[in-house]
Amino acid sequence: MDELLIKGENLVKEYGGAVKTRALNGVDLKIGNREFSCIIGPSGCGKSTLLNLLGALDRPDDGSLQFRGVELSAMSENELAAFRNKSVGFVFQFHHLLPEFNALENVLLPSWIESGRVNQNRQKRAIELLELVGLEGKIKNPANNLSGGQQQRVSIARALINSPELVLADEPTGNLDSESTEQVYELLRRISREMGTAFLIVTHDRNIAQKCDRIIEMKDGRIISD
Amino acid sequence: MKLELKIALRFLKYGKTQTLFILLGIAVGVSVQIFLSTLITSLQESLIDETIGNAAHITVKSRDDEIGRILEQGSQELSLLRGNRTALEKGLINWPVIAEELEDEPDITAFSPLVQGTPLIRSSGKDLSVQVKGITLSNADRIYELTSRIVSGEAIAEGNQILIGTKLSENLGIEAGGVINLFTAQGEPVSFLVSGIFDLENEAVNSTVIFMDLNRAQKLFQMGSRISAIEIQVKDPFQSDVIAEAWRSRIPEEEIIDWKEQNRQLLIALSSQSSSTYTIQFFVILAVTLGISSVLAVSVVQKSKEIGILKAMGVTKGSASRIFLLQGFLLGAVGSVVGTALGILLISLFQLAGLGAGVPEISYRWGNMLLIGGISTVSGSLASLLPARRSANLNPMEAIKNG
Repeated sequence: MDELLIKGENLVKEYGGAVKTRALNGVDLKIGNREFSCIIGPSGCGKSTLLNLLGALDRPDDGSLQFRGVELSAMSENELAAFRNKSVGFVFQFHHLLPEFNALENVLLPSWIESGRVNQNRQKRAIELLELVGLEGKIKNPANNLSGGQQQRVSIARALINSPELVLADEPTGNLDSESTEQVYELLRRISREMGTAFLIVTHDRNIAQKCDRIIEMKDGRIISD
Repeated sequence: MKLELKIALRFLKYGKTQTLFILLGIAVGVSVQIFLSTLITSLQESLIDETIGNAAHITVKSRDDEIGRILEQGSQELSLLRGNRTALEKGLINWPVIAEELEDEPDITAFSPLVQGTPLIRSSGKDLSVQVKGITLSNADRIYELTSRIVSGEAIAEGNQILIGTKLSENLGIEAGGVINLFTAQGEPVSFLVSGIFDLENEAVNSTVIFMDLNRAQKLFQMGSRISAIEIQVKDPFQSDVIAEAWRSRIPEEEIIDWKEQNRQLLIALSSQSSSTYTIQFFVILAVTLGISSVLAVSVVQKSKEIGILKAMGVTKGSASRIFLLQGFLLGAVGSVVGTALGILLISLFQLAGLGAGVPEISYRWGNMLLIGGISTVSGSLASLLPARRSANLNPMEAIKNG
């Protein structure tokens, strides 16, 4: 394993009020940089919950979670927001572009959130990223004027704009046909190779999983094989 | 702030129809307020101007009744004296001293010593009671603007030359240059030359008042060096009661009357009219605020996915709420600007259509309009507080999970 990026110890997460459901039940996990891994498991096994914790969208109820040695649970709301902005990138199943903005603007959003203004270098990088994901002709297209696969590729470019060390992808191809799935997967792989970004992909698709460097299998809120 | 503004603008632009309708709602609300308040204020201003524009705000008179009261408290013989008092004993004797003090008063813009009397005019067999105002023209001009209101003849009130109103001139059939005879209590007719006819735009004044030289009037009514009253105009007519009160303590021996006291009914009517205007304005503002609030509340639900994704990308709680605060502010501000324009248009149309016949002159109160616009903008921002809070507390995971 390369340098350690994420270290989670005994992570516990519960949901619900009176009747608590334990979504994560003592998960230990280490992720190194440049890793290309995936998490598989049946629905409700805690994959997405784990991903949300790693991406600081949610806080664990118990256990410790460190990113490059810094404890996330000790951070304030605003520090976590900055962490989400700079250190991780998200790719979701339903791509979630903002329909109010065009493709380029959607890619630039994380950089605007970081600096509050348009930066020429970032603008150049956003165009490069859109070219990288094969959307050079669609830069100014409104977000909902793109096909599902194209939207997902925009959201991948968006996840990369702030050069995060880790990209978390929750079923990134779950909503796509098999051809687009293949393309998107190849793209993620290539980015990981070329940019050295670590990827952690939640997927149902065993075919995709087979092609990852590391497969983490979960069941009932625990990791059963790694 | 720049990013929040950008997102707020895009959200508003994306929901075009929704934005347009709420903007129209705000604009209509603001225009109604501006229309109403401008009309009412103009109406009130002209009413007040009619009442006090060319009249004394404060009058200083001799405390006649006070002397009578003291006399009555005395012996039987003394009380007899009261009715027998000649005009010589009534009126202000020390008025030059008061006038000197008035001269130095910064709040007082004009004052005019006045001798008043009510002689009769005999005209084609009928006796007509008129009111003579003995004045010095230079002083009286500052209150009555006589010189500029002469419609025929010349503005001369010296010696036996007098000024009469248009209506009186009509009733008597006497033009400038004509002669009229005045009968005082002494019964001897005195002839005067009408040098000019004035129009003070007041029926009662135009039909009964005669302006004459102060000294001549003193002689006519046998007042010696006394005068009936000093008429005063002040800078701010609505301060006249305060100023009058101050003078009451300075010259307690004289009677001081201010116009507000004399026009209490009018002022009560005006103030209740104002209160009903404010009430209407309050409810219009309330309706506008609720409108903005509900539109934004719906918008937060509509945009929850977008807010969730923005938060996942690192937008803070504060930013997420500011996006909606800005939308409220923008709706309020733009609505106010459009509404102000619409309000002015409404007033112009109202005047063009001749519906404002009772309102002689519309005066635009820019300060007031700014205030209405400002209040609407602030209301817009306040209306967005609740939606903004919901946006801030929105859980990004929920929003994202629900795709």
